Amino acid sequence: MSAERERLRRVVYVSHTAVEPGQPMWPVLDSILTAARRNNRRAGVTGALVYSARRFAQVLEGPPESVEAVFERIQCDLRHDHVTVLEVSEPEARAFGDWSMAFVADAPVPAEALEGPGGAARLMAMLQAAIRNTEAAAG
Amino acid sequence: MQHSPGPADAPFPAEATDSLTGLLRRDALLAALERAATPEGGGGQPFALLALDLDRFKSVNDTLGHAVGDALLRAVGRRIRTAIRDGDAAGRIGGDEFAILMTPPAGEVSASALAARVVELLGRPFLLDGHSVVTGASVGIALYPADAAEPEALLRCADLALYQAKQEGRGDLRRFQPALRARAEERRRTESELRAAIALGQFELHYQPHVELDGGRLAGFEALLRWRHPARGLVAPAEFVPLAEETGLILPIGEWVLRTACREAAGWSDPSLVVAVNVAAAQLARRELEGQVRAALAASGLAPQRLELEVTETALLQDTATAEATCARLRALGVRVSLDDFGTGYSSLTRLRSFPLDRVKIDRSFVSGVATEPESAAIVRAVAALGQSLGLRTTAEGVETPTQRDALSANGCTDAQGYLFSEPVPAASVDALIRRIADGRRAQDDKAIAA
Repeated sequence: MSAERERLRRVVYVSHTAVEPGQPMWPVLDSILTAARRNNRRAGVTGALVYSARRFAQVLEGPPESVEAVFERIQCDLRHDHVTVLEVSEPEARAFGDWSMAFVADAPVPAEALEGPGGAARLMAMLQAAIRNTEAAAG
Repeated sequence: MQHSPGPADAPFPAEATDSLTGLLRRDALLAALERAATPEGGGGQPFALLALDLDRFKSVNDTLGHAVGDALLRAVGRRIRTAIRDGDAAGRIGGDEFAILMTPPAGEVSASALAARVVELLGRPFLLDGHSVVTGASVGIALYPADAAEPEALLRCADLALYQAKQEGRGDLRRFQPALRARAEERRRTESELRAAIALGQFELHYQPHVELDGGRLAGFEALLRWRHPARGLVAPAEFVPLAEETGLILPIGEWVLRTACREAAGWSDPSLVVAVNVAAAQLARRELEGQVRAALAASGLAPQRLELEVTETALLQDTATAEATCARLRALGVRVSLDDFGTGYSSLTRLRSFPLDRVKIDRSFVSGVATEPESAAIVRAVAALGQSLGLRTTAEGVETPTQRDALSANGCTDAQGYLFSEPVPAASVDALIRRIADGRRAQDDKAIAA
């Protein structure tokens, strides 16, 4: 039982892949997810990543310093560009607490549709639904 | 994307680095540059030097505080270290200024590639203390020995290219060109000539009449600054006012214009005529303006009602509260205030209501189409109607044809100015112009009576 509630930061962003069209994307996604899951577990960061129509959308949540450090490392990666932050917030609780980095490919809502007003909320809802569906299918 | 491909965290020796960014200190970078440019010491191979600075560092510092500013510089240092190749040296050479020395072999292609990588990485958001911050960077590239063989000269080349990148919109890179050196040379020469021009008496005012559209009565003149350059002849304001504004010389020049316009207007043959004087943003932002106006009126004996100050929308935007207070005090003296070039900036119609004004001048871009484009006519009509309901006069600028004059009149403008009435004339010709316009009106009246 923890007496104090954990102080949390969440950041939601979208970006474009910088991998040439026609080049296989799976090895890139695989390497991104492997590194993310390893680093995030260590840093206490959880979140979700969607890749669709050459766009990434990602949610990172956890202790503020860790989230900022992980976000900064992502910004130094040249495999994506056109980074836009949709939301920086201090949520009450984690939305993806069970996932060091949940992954959704070819999401029902294309990532490009998430840019613009309300995009962050739409992304959160879409990711949570997609992950619930995946769990139900697996269970 | 959570892959971490960056180089080791501290690629440079600790004693030579800036503690904030982990990059080389200025002296260490200059020493590296010196070594690279000394053939006797094993240097002398072609290399590239990049100068860069952040586009919006000051606003981050001002709005989010120095702690966030420092965190930004720290993160910028990390991103620069990510961007450079092994063996390249990167340093922080000023507050938010950086330089990268690319080791040989480095030519234009690899330098441009690195510069593009730096622009891209520094253009991405930073997450600092819960704020998403976008600062952006501009980069200038100089090549050794093609652009310069001396370290300091090479750094100047890179800085000139950086300045060019900033001038042309920021967030981009520019390669040094010899023409940039010539242009900087030219600017420096113009600046020192401009500094001397007041003392040498090279400025003069020309005057363009503005007339009332109803009846054609002459209402006054706008004072327009000209520079009589000993070699270049009569120089138009567009060629030196931007530089004067950049260097702050606009303040003494503006004061000279104010004093001279008041003195010359006080001597006109018709003591009812108003003289309109342009006031720059920098003048309006200063408290001295009111005192300068009082002094100019006192020295010339010109009645305050005969002086009109023209301010631009952009000038009002810089510090609205100060500008508004200054204009209110000037109007309390009896001086009139008009809003110049209306429609070209960002002022809203709301500003017309709240700002202490006597007149709005409709920009020439709307006037030229008033008789031919329904959109321009609609804008002129709307501004004129609003002016009327707020008790302001509306002057159309740049009127060139009788058709435009008639359309402006039909759309509710009260006054006009432009080549149709007269081009700007030297001070010595003002009285002749006053007579000519009066004679013209009399002839019109006679014709009307005869008809």
